Amino acid sequence: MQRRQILKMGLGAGASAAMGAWAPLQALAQTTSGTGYRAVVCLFMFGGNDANNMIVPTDARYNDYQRVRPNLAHNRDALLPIALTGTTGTYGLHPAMVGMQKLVNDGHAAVMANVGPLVVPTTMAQYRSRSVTLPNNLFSHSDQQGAWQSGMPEQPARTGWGGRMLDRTLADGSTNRGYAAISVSGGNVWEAGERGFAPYRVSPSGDFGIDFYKPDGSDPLSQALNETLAEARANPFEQTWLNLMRRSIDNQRVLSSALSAGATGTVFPNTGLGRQLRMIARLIASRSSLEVSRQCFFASIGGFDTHGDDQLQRQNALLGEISDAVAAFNAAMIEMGTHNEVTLMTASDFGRNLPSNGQGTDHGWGSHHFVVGGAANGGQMMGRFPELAVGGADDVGQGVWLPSISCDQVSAEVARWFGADDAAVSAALPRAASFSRLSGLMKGVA
Amino acid sequence: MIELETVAPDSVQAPSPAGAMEASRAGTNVVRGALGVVALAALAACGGSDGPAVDVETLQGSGGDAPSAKPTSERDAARLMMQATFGPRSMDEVQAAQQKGAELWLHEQFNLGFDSHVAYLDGSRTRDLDQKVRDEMSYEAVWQQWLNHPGQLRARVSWALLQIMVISNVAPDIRPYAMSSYMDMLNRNAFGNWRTLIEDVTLHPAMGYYLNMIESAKANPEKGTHPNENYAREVLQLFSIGLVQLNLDGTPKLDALGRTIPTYDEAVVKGFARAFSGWAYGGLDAGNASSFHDHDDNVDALWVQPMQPWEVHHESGEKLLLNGRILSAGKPARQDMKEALDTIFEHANVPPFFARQMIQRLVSSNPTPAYVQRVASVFIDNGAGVRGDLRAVVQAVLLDPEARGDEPAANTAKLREPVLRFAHLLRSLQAKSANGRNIIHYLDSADDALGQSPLLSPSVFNFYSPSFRPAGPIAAAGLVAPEFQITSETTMAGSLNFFASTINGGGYGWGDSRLAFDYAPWEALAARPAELVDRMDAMFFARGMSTSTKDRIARTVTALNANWAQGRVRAALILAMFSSDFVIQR
Repeated sequence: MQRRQILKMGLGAGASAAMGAWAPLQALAQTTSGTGYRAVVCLFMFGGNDANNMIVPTDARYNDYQRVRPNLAHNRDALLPIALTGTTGTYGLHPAMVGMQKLVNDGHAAVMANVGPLVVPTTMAQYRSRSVTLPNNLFSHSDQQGAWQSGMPEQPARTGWGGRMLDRTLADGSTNRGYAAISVSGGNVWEAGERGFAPYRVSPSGDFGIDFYKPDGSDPLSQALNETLAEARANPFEQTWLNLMRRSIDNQRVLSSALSAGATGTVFPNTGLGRQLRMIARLIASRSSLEVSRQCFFASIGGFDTHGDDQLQRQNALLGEISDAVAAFNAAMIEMGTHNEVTLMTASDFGRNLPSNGQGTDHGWGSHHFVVGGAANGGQMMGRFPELAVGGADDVGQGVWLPSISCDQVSAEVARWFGADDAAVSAALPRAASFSRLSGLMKGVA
Repeated sequence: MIELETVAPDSVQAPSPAGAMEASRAGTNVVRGALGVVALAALAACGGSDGPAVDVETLQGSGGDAPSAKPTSERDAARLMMQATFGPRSMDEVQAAQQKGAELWLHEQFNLGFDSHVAYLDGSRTRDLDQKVRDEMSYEAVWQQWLNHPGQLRARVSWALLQIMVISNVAPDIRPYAMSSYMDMLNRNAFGNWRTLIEDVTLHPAMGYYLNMIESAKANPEKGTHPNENYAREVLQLFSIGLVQLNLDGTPKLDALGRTIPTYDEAVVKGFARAFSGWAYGGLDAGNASSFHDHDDNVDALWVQPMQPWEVHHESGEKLLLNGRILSAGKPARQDMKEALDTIFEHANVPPFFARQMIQRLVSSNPTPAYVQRVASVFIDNGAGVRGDLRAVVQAVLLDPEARGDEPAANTAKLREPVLRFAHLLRSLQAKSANGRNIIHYLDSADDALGQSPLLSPSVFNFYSPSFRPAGPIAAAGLVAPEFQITSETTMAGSLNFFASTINGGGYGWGDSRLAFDYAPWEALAARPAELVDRMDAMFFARGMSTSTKDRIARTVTALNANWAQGRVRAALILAMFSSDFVIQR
């Protein structure tokens, strides 16, 4: 059986059953957008990263920072200096982010300051009077994770902007389309499209498949499994189970064969995130055998919900893991010649508030993030860094920042670089149109 | 306060939280509670556990007159086993339930207790080379209860409660005594009252530590600190009322513009955080202001008794709660806590919010609104004017027409979560170990295990959301399927490999704790495929095996050498484990 047929079988049941429900929606892409290869990697920091301790002003504003969170503040000397255009101040990175410091200073990573979910451009007065629509359930983990990933922060997340972007940039029916969205770290809404399109999950270990199963069905058990898969079940739960089993077998056949050709010489740290990004690098290295020209990858790291007195220790380990893994990934992309074709962006539920709860910190809103890769105009800050003061110009209450830019503004620039035209951007990120463009974030994007 | 270290390391005489918590609630001291437990231990030491069995008569929700037996169909009885146990251990068990009928069977289950998880730790410590308690012992205690205790319904309901009022050892690290004491607490409250449950959850040090209510102090303007909001937020969002206002039938209320209506805002979260400030470990000197933060939390005894208040660290100002209710200033911490929980308990969302999730955990992912409403109404009033009677709620869930009968409605379905399928396999194959214990620890690897392990959910959001909606036919039908959130291409392969290697290996674990299967009754049928299939249908499929699955198992078995009984039985079991009519409970 041809790979393509297998995949159509895999996606067929879901897509056709869902057709009726989604028929009125915009049609899928008829042709793949643009030439060459493009991939976006979303690195999600689950729990809400305390970015107030990740990027810290080292100029006179350092004292504001130190004053508000004395039990959590880094020493000024310990911060890693970064040189940024687009801002007049000076900044340092969290002491554990040595790799990231080099990426910023080498121009491979841009800093997005005080970015977060917004439905429309929102002033402090509008926030206070609730005169504009705000993201649904601010400060709730699940909802704000959904807001970052869905691109529709005013409603419960059903599909994601990555999935909808793929819906409209990768030709419907093209080879191995199902492998355009891959998660090396569990479920996510970001890669869910509108017609049953769901991320393929791939184990970072590279171990694939069902041990007792032989695809040629040469033994009774494999034959029984093939027969089980061939059967249609009326109950949607049973059919969903069978669809997943089929997709699991697809992984075994397609990805393990493609991956045998995909290797990278770069050494990755042997950490959870290091293994995830290494698997993504290997999948990118096997892109020609997979024959997919547009891909989204989802990676993640959890543990950022640092309310307690282990905040400093925990964040130190987590940000160190991120910095080391992302630096290795960037090096691998250079080594593989895909540095300009792959963009990694960080995301998280929300930032955390500036003052301490006596131990750690509580849920916030706007936060700082990175866009990494050869296609990003690195070494710059976009967005406006917040005034680090409780009751200051950016504080919606107890040191929680009203975002200066929307995460959808950032995503829309990456989507344009990915090959999305205006119609595709507006389908993937419908709220971005009411914000200004972040021109200059991505190279070669008009 | 007795510290565990001062007690002879000789088994069950350490203060048990079962004793400690009960004692505290009764206002007596911990020593008396502990002595009570010791006395019980002498009465009842149960095979495979370290005793003491908890005397069910001390638990809320026991007793009552037994209803008369109302025999039902085998299918209905087998469905009840799926919904309310970790799987039947024998054909006799299903037949006994069939003769009793659901109501009498439930009555008997309400009157069965449990073996203290903390006592299991005490016993395990004496066996440990370094006389230490270890995280793994807490996991073993969970599986001991699931696999061996006859009080299966209590075990299932406390597992369901753990998935609503979540603690997890994934991060931060929770002490073994804290975890096991929390399990005991859930077991004690499983058929009690929701209001008692939520207070015991709120004041349990495991939860205090997990969601940072412990040592949360009033605002300090000089240091710029404020009370920790973590517990306040999650007790509202996840444990009790959720984010949007609900009708009694669990559907969201809508405003004139068709939008959902929030249940609370940030000011309310801050109000509850203030109301919950000032609590730290019981067993410390609450008269000493500095012991609130400065103490040695390595003392095991601190983790098995409720937290206590330090008034000097409690926020004294007024607090905004739900529905505009304001706690006036100057009340003591305990009163604020109780009134805050009363306010939650009285909220109109609690009955449908709890009813829907309990139905999802036991019966079906998509109960009709009418089913939710029937159960929620019992939550509001158990028939004797009592709100929050969990025994009545559990009974309403399981006796409902949507749960009973031979022919479930089209949308009555749920994916049986991985640990339920594994426990079912172990129980139905009569798995036993030489020492009566188990060695089931980490099953949460997605690559080569089940992808789910009790007490190790990724976060307070549990393993899955009650509203998770996988893309494909379930989403297209407008349904939800929480358990599919941890079911993926990766976990599919990992868990099927896990089942196959366990079945082929003939058991799970190693050494004297290895759980070995008894294949004899199955191998006796290997030469008669139709009978083998029939037994599988009864034990694993609740008599709901489809014709095509029956044919497929019979054909697969027949294709293997008739003299190779072992191979035939194992292939049939592996096939069953991936059959959609086994994994989907109808």
